[in-house]
Amino acid sequence: MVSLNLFIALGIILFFIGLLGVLIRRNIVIIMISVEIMLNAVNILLVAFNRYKFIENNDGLTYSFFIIAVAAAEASVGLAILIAVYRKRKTVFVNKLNTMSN
Amino acid sequence: METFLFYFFGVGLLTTAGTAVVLKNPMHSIISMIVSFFFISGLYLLLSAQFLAVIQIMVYAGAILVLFLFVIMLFDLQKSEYQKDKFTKFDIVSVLLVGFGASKLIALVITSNSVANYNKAKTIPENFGTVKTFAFSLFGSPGVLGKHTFVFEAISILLLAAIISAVVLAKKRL
Repeated sequence: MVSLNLFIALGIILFFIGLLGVLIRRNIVIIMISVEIMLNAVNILLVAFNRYKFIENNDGLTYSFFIIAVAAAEASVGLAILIAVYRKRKTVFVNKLNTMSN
Repeated sequence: METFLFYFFGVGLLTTAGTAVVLKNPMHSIISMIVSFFFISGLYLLLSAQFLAVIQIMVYAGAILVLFLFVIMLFDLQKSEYQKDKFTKFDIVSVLLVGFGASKLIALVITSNSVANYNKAKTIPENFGTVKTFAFSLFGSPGVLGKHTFVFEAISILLLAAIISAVVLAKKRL
């Protein structure tokens, strides 16, 4: 059996990859992808802790199921906002989208 | 065997997630993200969460990422357009800070004894991570509400609101 430490290390590295993506990229679509990476890192940690520590119940799995559902809602609304912004400003780069009016 | 599979899935996951963040072309990075979700699904199978592994492929790789893919196609970014995403001096600082934080945390976790206490092999209950257990905790058995029924209903209302707001926001004339 793989030790829990390795799973936590994997989750941490994945979370920080996502955080790095949010910090260094300018393209909004890539930023949203990075947010999805962070959500997945948290999902892996929830499932790993559920499997190793609280094996008698199923709560961690259920929470990560809810996180997947919330991520779906977030992605759809975020992309809809992105389409509306792109239609108006013709750009997807956050350093160009720095005024609230046009 | 299990250790080999863990390292296979883990290294594949980290590489594909890293390329998803680094690649300039958003189309390439989304496809690399889809591959990384398959690796995550393999990790769930290692943790014996079968239902979540299937959901990960069906909902994440099959629905959410395909939505991203279609939105990218809608933007129709030219090569000269997305190549403008240059790295600046501030990015080096953020890479250093994030790398420092991650290395500190990992050094803390890898050697932690309080975490290693849970490594003892336990017998997995027969119904761990199956569809049946999920159904019992989400819907409850006849006459009894499940443990998470209210959260489930709230999520369904949230998804309905998300559908309506996505349609309203993406309409041509607000």
